[in-house]
Amino acid sequence: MAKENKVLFTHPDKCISCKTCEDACAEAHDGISNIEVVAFPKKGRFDGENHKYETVLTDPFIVRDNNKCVMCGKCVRICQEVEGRGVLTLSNRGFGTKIEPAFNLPLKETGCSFCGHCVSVCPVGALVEKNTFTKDRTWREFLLKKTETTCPYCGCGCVMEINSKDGVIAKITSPVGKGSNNGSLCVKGRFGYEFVNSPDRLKKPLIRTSSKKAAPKFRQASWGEVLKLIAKKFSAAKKKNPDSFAALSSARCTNEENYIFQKFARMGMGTNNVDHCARLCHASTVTGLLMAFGSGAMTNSIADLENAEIIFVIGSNTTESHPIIGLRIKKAVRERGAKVILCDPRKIELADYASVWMRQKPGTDVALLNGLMNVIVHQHHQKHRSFIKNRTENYEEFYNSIKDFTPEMASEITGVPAEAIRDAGTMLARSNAACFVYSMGITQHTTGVDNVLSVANIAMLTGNVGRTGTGVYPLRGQNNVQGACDMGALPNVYPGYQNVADAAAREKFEKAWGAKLPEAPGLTVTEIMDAVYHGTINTLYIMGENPVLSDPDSTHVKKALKKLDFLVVQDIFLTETAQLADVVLPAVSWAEKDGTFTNTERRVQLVRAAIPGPGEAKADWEIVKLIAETMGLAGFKFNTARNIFREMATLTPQYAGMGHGRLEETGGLCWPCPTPDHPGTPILHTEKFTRGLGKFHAVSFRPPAENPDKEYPFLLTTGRILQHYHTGTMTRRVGGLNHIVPEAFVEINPKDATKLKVGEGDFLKVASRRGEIKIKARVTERVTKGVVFIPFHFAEASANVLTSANVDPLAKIPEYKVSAVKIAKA
Amino acid sequence: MHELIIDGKPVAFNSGETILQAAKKAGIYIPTLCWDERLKPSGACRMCVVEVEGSHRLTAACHTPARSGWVVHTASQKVHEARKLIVELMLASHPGEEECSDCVKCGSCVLQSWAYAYGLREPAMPMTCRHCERPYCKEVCQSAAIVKKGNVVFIDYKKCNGCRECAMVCPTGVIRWDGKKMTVRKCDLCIDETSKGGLPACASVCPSGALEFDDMDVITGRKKKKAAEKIRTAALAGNSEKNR
Repeated sequence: MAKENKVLFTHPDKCISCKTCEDACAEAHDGISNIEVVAFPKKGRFDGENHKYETVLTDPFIVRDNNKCVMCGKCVRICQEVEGRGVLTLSNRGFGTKIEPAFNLPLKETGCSFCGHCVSVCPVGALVEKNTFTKDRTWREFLLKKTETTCPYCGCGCVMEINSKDGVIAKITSPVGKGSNNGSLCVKGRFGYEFVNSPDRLKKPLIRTSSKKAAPKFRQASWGEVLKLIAKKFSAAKKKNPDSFAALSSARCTNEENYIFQKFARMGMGTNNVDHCARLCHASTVTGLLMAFGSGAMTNSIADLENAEIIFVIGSNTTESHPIIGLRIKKAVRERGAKVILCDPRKIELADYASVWMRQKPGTDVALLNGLMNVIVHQHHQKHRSFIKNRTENYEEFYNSIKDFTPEMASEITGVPAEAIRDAGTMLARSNAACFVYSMGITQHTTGVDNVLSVANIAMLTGNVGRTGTGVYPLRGQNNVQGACDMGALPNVYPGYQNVADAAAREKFEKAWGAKLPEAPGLTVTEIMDAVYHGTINTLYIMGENPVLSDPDSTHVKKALKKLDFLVVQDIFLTETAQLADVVLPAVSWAEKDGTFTNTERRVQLVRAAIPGPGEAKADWEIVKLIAETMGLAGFKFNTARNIFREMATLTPQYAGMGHGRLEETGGLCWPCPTPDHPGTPILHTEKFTRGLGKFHAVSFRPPAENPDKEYPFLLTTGRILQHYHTGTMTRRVGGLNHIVPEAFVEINPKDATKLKVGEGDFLKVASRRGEIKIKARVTERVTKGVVFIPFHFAEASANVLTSANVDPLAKIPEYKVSAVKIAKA
Repeated sequence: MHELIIDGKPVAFNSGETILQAAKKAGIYIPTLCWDERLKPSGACRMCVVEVEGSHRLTAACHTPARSGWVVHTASQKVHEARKLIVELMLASHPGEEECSDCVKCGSCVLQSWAYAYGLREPAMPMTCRHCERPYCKEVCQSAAIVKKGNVVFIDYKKCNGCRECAMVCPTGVIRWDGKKMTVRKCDLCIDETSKGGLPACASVCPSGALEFDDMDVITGRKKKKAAEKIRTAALAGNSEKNR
């Protein structure tokens, strides 16, 4: 409610029903009153027996009061038709008809994903959010302040509205007809906001008082004091050797923050040692697709998935990691009869939707794809040939590399029946429009780039690039990982992927920023950690990342970080990494700042501040600016995020036509958008590839770096689950999410479980060559024999204690997906 | 492209589109309950019934494909009677009037606003127009009779065509039907007085202070202070009791 909005304030307790106000109003308005005062309950014509159901309060997030239900059936239909779950139904008949899950079980046991879509469509008060249900009358929906913004979790980039009151988030809704989600949100998006108002939030800057080896102790300090301290240390590091400084940016922060952060590292500190967690998820995509197509981004839009005939999914648990994209795939299958070809070692939800499901051994993706392509080249369709001839190059070399690699040979390596490979290959060769969805399942390998190149090969081989319903979909894992890469928070490129080694590009930025810039490309995340360990980097500045949990081989990372001379961590919570810092700076969360995120389909969308930050916390861009100014650097005179975007757009060709004003009007634009009247580009490579001709690469199979052996007989693969997000700093502070998945677990096949004599819920000791954790067993057919799966969200049983830091030679991405472990009952 | 006439307005539509979709395109509001643009229409609630000339019964707009040449009335007497009956039936097995203002959805509940619009339920306290920031009534008004001037939402009674759609969407149920003049009426915040710094008529006469006229923040701020004071005195009293 606007401040100056004068309202007539009414209070039922005080009204004595004298009706004088009514008369006064009538007198002022030609004898007719616009006010009516308290009427006593009337008897309706049809009043009779009423339902007396009990309100269901036991489910997390959702309260159900069947007495208020008007049987419109919207919740039942939205659950079935949009979410594809069918949890709710109209049970019983006649007067006794009511909405409930099967057998009136608790929602947790019914396969409900707690997306809350039923709540959002309920026209009455039968299904409501628990959070507002427990609050008083001043928290009614129409009294809340609504702010449209973008979701802070995965790369889907859902449009959402924050409903807040007095600086507290009351609930999150999503407007229908906007963005790629069209009103859908997942459980994290709709309910995972409790962390924002958590009492654990950092409110003041902290300075370490204990030694690095001892338990962390901090004292509160003023901004002036910490800024002076940081400026002194950073200036000293710069004077000594700029390359002894490194900076880790964040894919969770806005484009503006990433831009100013890398500008600070490059221009302010004079080093290219700036990188962020894209290295750990899609570095192989950026490298691989750049080699094949000339651009490392998703080629088509999310909405375009619904036009595909065949959706080829490899290494992506889409319904859990990118729930809204998962909805599109499921909808395409249900409503248009699209076919899903799934390659995944685990029995994920999409397996139920797949026409062909190939359960390859983790780490054998290249062999599987080569086998598929062998099938395709031998029954080639004419129009694909013309695509290969006109739009691509290096086909001969590629053809020679796979022409003899039969499905039988692939079958031997991957464990997938040759017949399935033949079926899938035939389907792909005959389709008119197929799209290729992949994610961390194939990028996080020592052969990550090879895997990506193979996907690019198969897309070009079947002519499925540059048209609607086709394309390559590398699904980005974080809200702004695409944007952080675009902004040049990478050691080898400036904003807009302009190479630092390219003299012309460097000159352009030197001119714009007015400073000499370093020539040599910097170090990557994994290399920075090694350099820290070996003492070549002594000063580290981390913005919004938690490498202790997210980087492979946690023990090594922890040891390394303890060796640093000076570590600055800027975060919203005192994370596991912040506990090792010398100075901790309080930042604000996504709900408290302005800026832009770029989602996985390259759509740049606005983020708007809904509530004020806690205590003295500041936006990340403001903190970087203050540090730069305290160091006496020119070129950081930004007052708002809008100003930063304006400078960035002048230097980044892909963003040149954008500005906050235009994004506000259009509700988001897909880059490239070179001019202010350009409508954005939802589909890339339509006429020609970004690099001219698409390039085939001959790729042959290499096994993973670490394979199971006698001593470590199990193959460990890691990943995400729906309810939690990354290192859990946010989602594990949400009560309801913790109620659904309270603790870490390891998925193990029943056959292995019988052999080890463990049952559901028993504690296991899982050990690799690098460390060991204690974790609860979940016995399930989702994994095959000899393979175990651990989600990496849980600090108390961190999967990354076990993973190895073996990296891809080109992209430097660590192999999270394959490591050898041994398991014993704890 | 085909054409049909809705409420006297020629509306173009593509074949296969329903009456509701055509009406939406033309900016004509038809109330819906079980309809959602993302779902297949089910036609369960019948709130969207409209009168098609030549048909002896009412038609659900959400799942009836529009036909060229049809003449449709979305707000005739017959339609309003049918809708009122539907709301009445829904209310019959809905919790009573006294619970209405305790419900979380109070103020954003579709059923509640319809019950108010058809006079089936009354607000449980003196209700005055909130002059919303984004007035729904203004959005659905077919004849642009509702305008927002400064902070006040007005109805231009000369322009009002009496469709009553604003009353259907009003979350607080303050728009009323004036049967004599055949227009809707609502509070205009006594703009003649308030623009000169005076009080609206109702607040100026209220003897008990139930109606006040001030910034929302001022009033809530005062209430908060009062509540804090109450808690503090209670705590002090508790302490002194302990000390004794």
